[in-house]
Amino acid sequence: MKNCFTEAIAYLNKKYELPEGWGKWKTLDRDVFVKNQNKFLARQDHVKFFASFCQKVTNAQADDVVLWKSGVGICINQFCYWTFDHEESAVVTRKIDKDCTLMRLKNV
Amino acid sequence: MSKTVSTNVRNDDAMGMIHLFEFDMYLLNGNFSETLRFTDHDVFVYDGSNEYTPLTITFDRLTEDFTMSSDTINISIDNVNEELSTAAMAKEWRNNRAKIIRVLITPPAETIGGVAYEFGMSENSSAAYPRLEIASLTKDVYVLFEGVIDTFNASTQIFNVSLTTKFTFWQKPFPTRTYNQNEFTSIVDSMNDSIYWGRQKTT
Repeated sequence: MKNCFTEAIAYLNKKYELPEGWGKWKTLDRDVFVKNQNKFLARQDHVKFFASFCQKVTNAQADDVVLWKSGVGICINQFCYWTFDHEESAVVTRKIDKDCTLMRLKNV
Repeated sequence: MSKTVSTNVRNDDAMGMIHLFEFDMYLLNGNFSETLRFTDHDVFVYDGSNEYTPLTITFDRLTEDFTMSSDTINISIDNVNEELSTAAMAKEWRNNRAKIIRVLITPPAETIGGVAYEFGMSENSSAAYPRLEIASLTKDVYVLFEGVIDTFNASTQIFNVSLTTKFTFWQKPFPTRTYNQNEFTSIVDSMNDSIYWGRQKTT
């Protein structure tokens, strides 16, 4: 089972040391995230989750986290990011939008 | 500047054509900063060492003179999140190298959803996201244009750039030729002399 959050976390977890979780959410509990996807996103918990170990930045670079109201992506460079698109059930690339929030892992 | 078409790989109608764009950026202190790489393809393109970002990018025309070099090209690039204009103002963008490369590829056979296609989509990414990796594909690669960035202007949506040649051929002497008897003698004499850029050679 996949969603934008689990794919982003799985990618970051391969390259960086991530915290075990935030609140009741456990970082690597993929099935729980997918099952409670709507609740997780509706409460903006995905933003709070990344804010717990990332800092906001204004200019993107590779492996920065891109957050918007209902999703998460990973920056490829200062122009684009990739994310798991729920409707297409596939990874897609998109341009970084001005409304997106950019976050960088604190230990990077 | 050259157009070396190494092989005639395209023996079928199926042919993919993509363009790769390179722009060198320098810091204001004169040190090299980075090379911005873009493509007009739908997905990222990777040539084995460099990755090209897919952006809405177009160029207006590409005319050639007898040296097979182009004079000027105007390029229009999507100013994503105003990143390009920000970079252009913070770094030295003008008078630096700009290059347009044309890649002609023969898409390899591919099976998608159980259906075998003679020419597939050739989306062969080894990255986390869709990416065309052209290193192993049968292809022709040649430099379409190489010059320097001249002027630019930007809006929040579009970044326009004017490129000019490096004028490397301007020192070339005008080729001598022989005229037939019908032509006026004095013109023949002057034209048979070596002329370089408007001035008659006196030695």
